[in-house]
Amino acid sequence: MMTAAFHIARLEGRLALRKAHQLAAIGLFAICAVYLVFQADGFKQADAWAAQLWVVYLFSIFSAAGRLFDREQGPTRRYLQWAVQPRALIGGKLLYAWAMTGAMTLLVFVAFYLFLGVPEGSHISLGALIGAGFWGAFAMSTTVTTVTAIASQTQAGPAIAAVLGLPLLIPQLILCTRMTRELMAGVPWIASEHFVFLGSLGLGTAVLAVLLFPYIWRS
Amino acid sequence: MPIPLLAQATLSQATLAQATLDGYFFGSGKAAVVAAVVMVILVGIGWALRGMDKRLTELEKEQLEK
Amino acid sequence: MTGKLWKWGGIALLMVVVWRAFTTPMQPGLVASEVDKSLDIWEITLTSAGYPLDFNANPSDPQHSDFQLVLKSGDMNTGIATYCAEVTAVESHRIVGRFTPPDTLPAPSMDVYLMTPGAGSLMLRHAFSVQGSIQGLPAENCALGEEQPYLLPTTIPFQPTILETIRNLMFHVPMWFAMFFIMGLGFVASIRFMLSGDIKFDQRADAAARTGLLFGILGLITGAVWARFTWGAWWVSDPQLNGALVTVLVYSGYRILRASTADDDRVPRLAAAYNVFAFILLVVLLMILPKYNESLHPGKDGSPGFNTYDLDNTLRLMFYPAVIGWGALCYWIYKLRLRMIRVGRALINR
Repeated sequence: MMTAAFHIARLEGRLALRKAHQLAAIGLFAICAVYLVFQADGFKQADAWAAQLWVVYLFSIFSAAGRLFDREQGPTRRYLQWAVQPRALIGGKLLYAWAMTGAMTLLVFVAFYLFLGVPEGSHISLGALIGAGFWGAFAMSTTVTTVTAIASQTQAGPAIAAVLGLPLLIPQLILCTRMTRELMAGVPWIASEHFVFLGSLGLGTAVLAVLLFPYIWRS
Repeated sequence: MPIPLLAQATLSQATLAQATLDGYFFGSGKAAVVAAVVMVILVGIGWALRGMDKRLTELEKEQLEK
Repeated sequence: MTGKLWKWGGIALLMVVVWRAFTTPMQPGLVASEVDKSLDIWEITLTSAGYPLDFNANPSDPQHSDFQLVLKSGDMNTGIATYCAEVTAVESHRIVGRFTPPDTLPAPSMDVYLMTPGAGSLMLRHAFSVQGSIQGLPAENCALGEEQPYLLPTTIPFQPTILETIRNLMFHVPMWFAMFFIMGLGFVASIRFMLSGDIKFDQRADAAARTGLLFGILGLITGAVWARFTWGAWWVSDPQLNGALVTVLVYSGYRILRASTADDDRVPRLAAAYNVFAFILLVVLLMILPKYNESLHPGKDGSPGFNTYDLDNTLRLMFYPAVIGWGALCYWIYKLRLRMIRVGRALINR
């Protein structure tokens, strides 16, 4: 099942690259959002800086992940229901979502770093920032994927995904902001409680997604 | 998480206002009026729920007969 | 007959609770102090809340000798000094005293103790500060009088900053309890629906989510009012409050999810999956996150809570019936909603 999941994730990636214009649109949205914050004279204090970073990121991944289950409609859906184990399918989607949102952190965080710089007196390198981004992306992408899976079964997909998902992402957002602030204050990775908690939240959500998906996937 | 500054500033004022309000509230018997109003509202809620209860019982009976 | 009993029993219980909560007076307590330092002899004015201070005072005594006002400074490390003040005026919620400012003090801030005839001993910590005094213990301390008997009728306890609003304890807290109880029922129903596919469990989950949402919104409103009086703002950023808001938003999302799909056959399954997913995350959020982060909200570390030492017997006798009463009301509403859904369904199918 794991190999099948990896296979699906790779396939998703390839299909996404083939529709590069969609990826480009998402990237453009993210960079525009960062530039907007820069132009709006974004806060330079460490607390507000970290919060802004994650809020911009959160909305960027929503525009990206809302389309996660767009392909699985009509004949494709019936084919997949016949050919693939649902748990392998959701596993693949989770992996792909993490990879894609991870790539988004690269884009958003680098853009943020370049435009707004790092607040004075903070001890965070671009590498550590992106590392934090990948970790946050893990916790957020699992929730977004699960919620999108449910929302895609309704008639009003992406809109419903936002309504269902945003409230559930508030805690992840808080944890991500706190984790980033801790890193900026010079707390090492291992000592950051938020880091551990974020990881377990992401893992727990992933397990829940794998357990629940077969029920919504059947028709 | 610290209390916002605004909250701290108004805290003592609110406290003082309450200290005086309190004597008035109980001394004048207004507390009993408030309690009575809340009780009337509760009875009203109970009455409304009972009405729904009855109506639903009727509907359920109707459906059973059909 | 038992069906009617618990319904009206719940309402009756709530009526008793409401009556007792609003008409039981609060213990007196000192809330503010003001010191006039313009003369050689300083004058201190103390304001109190709750039951009148002059309860049981001897009206024919111009010296107010049945009151004793004591100022205290220092702690175990610096040594403790006490100073007597002369009580000059006593009103129901105000007391005025005079004292000669001490030359030496162990600490710059002073606590105030007031011994009253019948209303107990009251205290106000860090009532005022004295600048420019020499650090040291005074030659003599004020001799404390005998503890006077406590003669007040049944009262609810005095809590600094919460004061009279403690009565909201009978509304706000049981509403959240009721919400959690009913959401728990909904969660179990959703799981049973997933296991059995029986539509009656889906109807239960739907009714529970609706009722829970109602009580969640009531809990938010009562909480906001309370926060305005104790913290000074309608909303503050706090893990407990965030969790509460997320709960209400998530169950609003659940309602929207149910309403947004015309395809009737798939709704129950989607709703059940979302309910299970959301409820588990909520339990993590509401029970683990606030404990894990600092919270202003009572009942958590670092803030005074309504736990064993704060909740006295008078409050307990109101609080537990309130929990039962609101729970019964919530369950009644849930039952009605469930029957409405069933009847509606039967009408559509006919």
